[in-house]
Formats: sequence, structure tokens, C-alpha cells
Amino acid sequence: MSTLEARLLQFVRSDLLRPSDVTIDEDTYLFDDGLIDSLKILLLIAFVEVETGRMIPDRDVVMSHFRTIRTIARRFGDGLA
Amino acid sequence: MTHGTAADFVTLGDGRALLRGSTARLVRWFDDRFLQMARQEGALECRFPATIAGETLARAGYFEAFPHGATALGAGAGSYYLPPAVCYHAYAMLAGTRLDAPARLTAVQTCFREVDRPALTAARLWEFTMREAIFIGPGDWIREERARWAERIDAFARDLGLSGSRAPAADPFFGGVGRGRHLIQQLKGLKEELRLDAGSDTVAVASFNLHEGFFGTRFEITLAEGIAAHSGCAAFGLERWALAFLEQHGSKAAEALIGV
Repeated sequence: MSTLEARLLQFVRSDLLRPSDVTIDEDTYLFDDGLIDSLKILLLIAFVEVETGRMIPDRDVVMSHFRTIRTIARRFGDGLA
Repeated sequence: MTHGTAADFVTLGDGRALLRGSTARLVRWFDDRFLQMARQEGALECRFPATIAGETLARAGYFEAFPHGATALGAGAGSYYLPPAVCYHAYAMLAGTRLDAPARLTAVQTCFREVDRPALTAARLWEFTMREAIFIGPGDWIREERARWAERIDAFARDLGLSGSRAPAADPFFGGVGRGRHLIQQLKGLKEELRLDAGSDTVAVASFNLHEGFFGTRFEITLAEGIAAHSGCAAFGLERWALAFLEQHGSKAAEALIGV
């Protein structure tokens, strides 16, 4: 698991889904059951931007990049250990 | 600004348009086609009131998504609006019911978008006519229904020789939080639009929408299992279909199409 994956997993578990009894891992589909709503997507994007030091353009917020924590890390984690 | 011949698509400069002759018949021809498609699917044809209760729009979250989107009837009245879309009536009609089977409905209505008033082009009017096919049921079924409508309308446009393309749309149709709402909609592919070429621009003639369980929850429409129904709709801007056809093929082709 990459550093970004691990930090994303911790962020989603502790900050976005709290309090929650939903068990998630890096391959859980984040949007299928309404886990992430319109406010949480902004927090998630902000977290990735802070972690990577890069802005994410709106056009890159598509399902193929954001389906799971693993796909987010793969798309936006270039250069991070 | 006019389109077609004999000045028969006349924009009045205040977001309204006057259509006559073969252009008026062309709009009716398109509506007949969409109605026929909906009927073939077994849709229940409905005729909704010309106005909509503010209570219905509030329950649908309309004012959260579009704070100044609807045209109110009379200052202080607060209770009735000109309808910004057709399908809100359908959810109000089914409010509090449990569906034994998926429901299909269709209706046509003059709709109004306050944000487009006064609009100065034929492509973006304050007052326009919308035919909707509305489907309410389980989520998987709704997604299939939306896909089938989109493919059917793609083929319909292609058969008419109309050039354009279908793509995800960015404008939101229900409540949330500003940019977040827009991004969630984009992420989930909840809205697609068919845009046809019209002169130097393109015009959105149809949209294919998924609402997930948003309206089912708001209006307490449930499935047999007791869970909130999902909904979706296909919406057609009838004047825009006529406009795109006239821009691409001209009035002679329109007259041939409608059998003048």
C-alpha cells in the first residue's frame, strides 16, 4: 500500500465516515452506496490536493479516477512514495 | 430573430417565442413522436396542472438547487409557481405511495426558467415546451431505462440526419452544495445531454437523467420492499428540436417531414 493510499484510507475512515459502522478498504467503491456525498467529495478532493501539493481540475473528477481509494492514489499519487 | 422561412419562428425578445405554420406543426410532430415512443413503453399519459405548488418544489429541493430558478405567481402569494420542469408533478402525484411495479409516465407542459428571462435567442427561452418520460422503480431498472431512452433518441436523431452528440452534462438538477453538487453529478454520470448542431452553435435538445433515490426519499415513494424508489427521466425541449431541424435541413425538409 502506498503512502497516499494509507493516508487516504485513514482520512476516509476517521474523518469522512465518522461515526460509521461501514468497513472500508482501499478497494471499496466509495460512491455506490452514497458513502460520499456532495460535501464529502469536496473534503476528499481538498485532502488529496494538500497531500499531493497539486490542484485537481474539475474535469479530472470522474469515476474512473475516484471509484476507490486505490484508483485515487494511482491517478493522483505520482511521485509520492 | 427568426428561423425558417416566412418568419414562422419568432422570438419576442423577452424569452418567449411565437411559432406558426409549418414550424408550429414541426414542434407538434416531434412531440407526437416522443409521445408515441413513451406509449409503446406503456407509459401512463398524464396532464398536469399549468402551475405547481411551492410546497411541491420545496419538497423536491428545487429552491436549494436553484434559489431563483422558478417564476413565482404574484408577489407574496408564495404558494404557486410556473413549472420549471414536468416531472415534479409526477413525484407529487405518487407521494406517499408504495409501488407494486415500476411506473412509467409521460406528460408535456409549458415550462419556465426564470434564470433565462429575458433570453434573447431561440435556443434559450424563458418559456418553452417540454415533453418528459418519467420512470420510477428499482435503481438497476432506472439505469437500464435511461440507457434505452438515450440510445433510442440517438437513433431517432440519426435517422433524421441530424448531427450532434450525447455527452455528460454539468448543470445540476437537484440539491447539494455548490461545486460539490456539480462534481458528484459529473462523477456519477447522472445527467447526459444530446446536443444538436444549430447554426454556429449547438443546442441541448434532450437530457437523460438519473435522480437515484433523491425524489423517492423526498416524496416517500417506496418499492414493494419498503425502500425508497429511484427515479429518472428523459426530457425533450420541443422548440429546440424544431430549431435544430430547421437550422440543419431548412423549411422545405421540415414541410416534407410533416407532410405539408
